[in-house]
Amino acid sequence: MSAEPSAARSRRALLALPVLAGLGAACTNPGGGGPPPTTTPAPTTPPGPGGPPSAVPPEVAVDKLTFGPKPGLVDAVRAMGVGAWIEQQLSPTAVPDAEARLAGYRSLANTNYQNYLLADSGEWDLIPAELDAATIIRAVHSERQLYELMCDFWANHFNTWRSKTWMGFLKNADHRDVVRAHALGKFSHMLMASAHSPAMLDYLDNLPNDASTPGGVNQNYARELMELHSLGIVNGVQVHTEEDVAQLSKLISGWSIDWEVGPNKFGFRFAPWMHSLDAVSILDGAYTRPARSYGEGYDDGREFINLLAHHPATARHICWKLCKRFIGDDPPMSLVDSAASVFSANDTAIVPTLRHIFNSPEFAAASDSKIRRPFEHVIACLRALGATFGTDPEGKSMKSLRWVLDDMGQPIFERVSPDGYPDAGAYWISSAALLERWGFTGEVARNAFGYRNTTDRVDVNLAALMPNPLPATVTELISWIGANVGSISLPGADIADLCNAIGYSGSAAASTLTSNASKLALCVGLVLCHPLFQRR
Amino acid sequence: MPSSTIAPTEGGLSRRGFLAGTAATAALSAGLVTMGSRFAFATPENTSQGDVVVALFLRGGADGLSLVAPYAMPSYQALRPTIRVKAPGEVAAENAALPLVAGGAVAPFALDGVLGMNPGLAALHAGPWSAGDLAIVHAAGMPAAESDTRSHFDSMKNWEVGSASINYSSGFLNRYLATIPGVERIDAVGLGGHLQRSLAGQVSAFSMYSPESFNVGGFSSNSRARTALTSFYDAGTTDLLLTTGADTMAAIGMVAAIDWSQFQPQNGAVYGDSEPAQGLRDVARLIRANIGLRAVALDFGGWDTHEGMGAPEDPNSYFRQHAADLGDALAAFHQDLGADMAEVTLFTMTEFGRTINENGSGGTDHGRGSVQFVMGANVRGGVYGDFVSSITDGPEGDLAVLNDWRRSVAEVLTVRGGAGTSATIFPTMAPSAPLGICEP
Repeated sequence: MSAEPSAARSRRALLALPVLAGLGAACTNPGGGGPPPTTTPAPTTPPGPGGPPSAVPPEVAVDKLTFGPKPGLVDAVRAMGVGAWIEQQLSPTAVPDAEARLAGYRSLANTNYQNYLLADSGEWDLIPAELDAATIIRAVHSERQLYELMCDFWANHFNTWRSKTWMGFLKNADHRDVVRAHALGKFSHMLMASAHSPAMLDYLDNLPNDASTPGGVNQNYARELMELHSLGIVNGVQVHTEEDVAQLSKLISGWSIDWEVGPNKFGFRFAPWMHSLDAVSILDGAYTRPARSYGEGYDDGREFINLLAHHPATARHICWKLCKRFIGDDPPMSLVDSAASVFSANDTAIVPTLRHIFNSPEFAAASDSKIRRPFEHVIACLRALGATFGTDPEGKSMKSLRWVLDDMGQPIFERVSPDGYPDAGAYWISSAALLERWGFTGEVARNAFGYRNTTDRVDVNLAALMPNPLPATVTELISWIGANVGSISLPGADIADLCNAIGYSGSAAASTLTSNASKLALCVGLVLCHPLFQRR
Repeated sequence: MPSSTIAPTEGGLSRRGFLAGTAATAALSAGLVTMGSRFAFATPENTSQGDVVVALFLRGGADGLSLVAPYAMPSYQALRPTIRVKAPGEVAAENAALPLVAGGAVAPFALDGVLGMNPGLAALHAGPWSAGDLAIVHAAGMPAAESDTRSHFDSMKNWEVGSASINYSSGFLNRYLATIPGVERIDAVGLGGHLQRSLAGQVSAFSMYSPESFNVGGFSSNSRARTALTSFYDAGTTDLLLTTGADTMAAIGMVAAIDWSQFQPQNGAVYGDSEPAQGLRDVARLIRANIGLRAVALDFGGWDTHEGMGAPEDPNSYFRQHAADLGDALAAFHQDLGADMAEVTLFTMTEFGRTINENGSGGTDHGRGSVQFVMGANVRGGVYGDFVSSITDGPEGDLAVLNDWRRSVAEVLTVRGGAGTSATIFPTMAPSAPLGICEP
């Protein structure tokens, strides 16, 4: 596969909407040279012109609703109007995506059976490699940044660990049909899709949840379906009981995988011979069913999962997690509760819920309230530096990026436990994690990251990022780099310390730094190691 | 700052007060944290004040009834038709239960002959147990009166915080460190990964992947980068990111000055490639480097065995192999440290045990009581605490929690670890006499 996908794609989307095309151009990776983006089906309709007023500073909007600033993005958002930009991100049908860059990928559109056949043809490693590479490419290049951010959010919410069983190839369809299909849609649809997803049923042991065996049901999925996926435990408050776990295990026994040869092999199947026919009562009688006859019972599970999706505890749990994502690690419960009301009033629709959160004063004031997790830091560096990299999923660029995320403790789609990667700074801040993060940043800024003796490598062109004309002094240049590359406002004292550390006088001519590539790379790398760039 | 200001409460200690003006080489403490086979450690400046305590967390809810089985109880045999540990005589000796009986270095104990180890723990049985250096507490866990949750995440939080009813943000090991005189001089070093919650708090704690990797790298001039990063990450705040960065820069000076290649396994010990083996190998090296290590936390995952545990008499079965990874690592650590085990005490933790009955997929679901191991040269080998007379559905539906897991840990931290009291470490634990596991 070539390092860059074919450019033979439609320009229709760009041409149709000049405003968006202009914004797209402003955000285009300066060194990328990739094909024009195309669109794929995505949620709802484009916004009207203008958009609502917003109290959110453009720097905060970009920090919070994207994987990090690209050169020019903050200015473009300011010019467009933050409110209009947020509306556009909430309904991104017309916003360019990055799918054209994945043109040669072979597994992303496949059914589980097709991916099994692909794997069995000798491509067991290709399937996870493609999903990881696509995730990196979409995060860096798609202009539907909020959509990609929400895909990351839901992939963690409905985490499945790809390496648990031999059927890791199930993940690609799960990510597409559960997460990407519903990331800005309705939560109730996503929960139902996840409950029918073979990857989830495999990961949480519902495949062998067989009431007909002497040992009876397996509780693993039933427990997490309530605790992690829906009702939750928020601040120690739990509405479901141990008996509810046991009862739900019966209700979803037999939700399994189709093993019959044919196009639905490895697809969902309800297996009546595994299903418990017992009467069931859950949540203190909020749901009951009588004893069933053989062949019945599947609709009961659907009914209860729909009840779960619409339960007030679920609304609170989901909105608590959304507020953790977008406001801070310990979000104000008043906002959680008002967002939960919006979530419930809109039949679990995600977009109005997000809009409510983004319109809140808490959001406008939440500058730098979150620590960038390793994935977010790596992507933010690539975006800020306009890095170019190969898109061959098994090529050297992608290998090194996937490995460095492993080193940093956040390998893509490899979270072992079903809770997903934690969304709290305390988990990610440790001495070792900082050293890994700093090391990556220093390497990528000086073109020393990953494989070098190849054309399929991660490259940056710092000279092309520098302003023209240059400001007068090194001090002014470093301030400019902070503001325009990192979108951070470096304190004067830190600029002075940085000048000293790299052996420059702050009053020296800026050109003395830009003409020394090694020192410029050291300087830029350290700017991106500044505490302010670790936050979003 | 004067050491007398250390309070074993949250917020009572300035993390950074000790850094300025301290002879930086004097002491180094690392909250040893691990993810994967990586971890971090914590140390005070005077190791003579107490043992290095090592907390090994078995993540996922380890099945205590398979690690240490009441193999002869008919109720146990009936409830677990395929996954039970077989009695000697039923299968070949090397595939059967390893009975826990008094004799030799093991003094008489009340539950003599009731329990047997999984055959995967053969090295643990032949080594630490036979040497009288291994104590076992069964039916251990968080008392139901405080919390009977079977959520992994809630329960792990409760264990690492040390309480289910007080919402501390600090971990119990951090509060332990705060009770030790002089700990405010500890500096922190970590080898990669995430700091465990048990070590989080006011006392600096470090994570590291390996001692060798604990340095700034990646820049064209790493020394210039260190200078800049030291100025960026300000020690004079309470912000976790800034203080962690500052602690890290301060600790690098000490750790990077040590030639780590000189610390190799001794006494013929051979560590495997498993997560706990590689972790404990590095713990032993950190102890030998004499950097003042006092508390270590590390993890071993893979215990959430809802299906396919396998029959213990099959050497290739999942649970037996996983048990072997644990037992082999503990035995290698015990052998490696040799006489130094007199100043080291290790204990295991796990968020809960598993259901007493085998489920339909050859596994077990989330339960309550599980087993604890405590290992050290000053541990009195034996089985401690209460146990049931038959494996039946108790009031909690499973092997009930008869022994508060904190009771043995509190004894380790006070009798061996040098803490004056466990009252601030485990404020919600019911008062009780020590089990007598530790020699003073």
